Amino acid sequence: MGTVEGQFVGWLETEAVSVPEEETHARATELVEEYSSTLYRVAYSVTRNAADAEDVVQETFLRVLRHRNKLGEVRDYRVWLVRIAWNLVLDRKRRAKTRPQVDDFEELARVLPAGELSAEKMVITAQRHARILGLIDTLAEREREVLLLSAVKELSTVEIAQVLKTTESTIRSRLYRARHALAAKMEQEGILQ
Amino acid sequence: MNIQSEIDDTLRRLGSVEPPSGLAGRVNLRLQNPRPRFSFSIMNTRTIAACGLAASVGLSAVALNPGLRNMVFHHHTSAQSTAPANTLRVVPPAAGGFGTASSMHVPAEPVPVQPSPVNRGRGRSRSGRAVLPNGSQTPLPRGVVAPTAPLR
Repeated sequence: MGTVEGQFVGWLETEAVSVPEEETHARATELVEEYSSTLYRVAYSVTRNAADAEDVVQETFLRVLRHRNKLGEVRDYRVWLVRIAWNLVLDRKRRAKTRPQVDDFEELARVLPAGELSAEKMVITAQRHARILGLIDTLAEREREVLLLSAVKELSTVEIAQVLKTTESTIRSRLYRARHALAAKMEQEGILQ
Repeated sequence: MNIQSEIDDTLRRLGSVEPPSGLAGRVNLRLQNPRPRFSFSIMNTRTIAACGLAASVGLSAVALNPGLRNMVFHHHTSAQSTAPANTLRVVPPAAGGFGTASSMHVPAEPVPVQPSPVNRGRGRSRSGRAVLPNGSQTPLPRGVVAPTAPLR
């Protein structure tokens, strides 16, 4: 193999159990079917942009395919994939150095599930949510990350702790502080008045 | 609605966003046809390194070897010998030495300097400014003038 990455993969393949190409592709397809929605929500919680979130999902599975020889060693695919997607989306946000477009109320009203609300209430609710999301973005990094990951309905506190490589008690503590700080900011902004 | 329930509601909505339809299909399609990525070949690396090394050795040889340097600058010296005498000359570096000091040379013959168009005062006006006398708009030549006949 001529390329550096090719040699790296080749070296890994001699260490790991050799898996046929068709089998890895089939496994990757299964992972896409099972976890793409979760990864999309994880990415969307940070980007708040549908196209960017989908890009992150695609990039996550491309990484999986690139390191397909490790598939046999993974114990928890959900945590492993969410960690890849989380790192990708944070890296993307860091590089973009732009805040999420929380002012796009129509987009939020369209994307966020509204339940049985009327069109007018839907827009008002979307505006309020956009302001709250804007306040979440002003929280400290660790608290913000925990709060956003806790929003993803498929992830438990234990899984969030595994994704962020910390303990469950730390996650609970950060979550409490994040909600407390966010509530204070909301009061200060007079969001519910 | 209190603040905590509003936070819960916002987070629940954010975490329940439905992905666009056909997401899994598009991802699978992308996995089947991944875009070619930039690959940095070992062979390319070696070739680039070898070319760079050869170029640096060649340039060092030209810079340090007086014979080679004369060969390189030969064209410039011959071109200067045919230049008109009334123009400024660029003196080539000497055969020996290296660096700024080796480029300091005294030309073999005086270099004529073009007269400056700057007005030169011959007197003073009432206001104290320097002025030229009437009928003398051409300033005197400046610099060293080369003798027309050889000195004895």
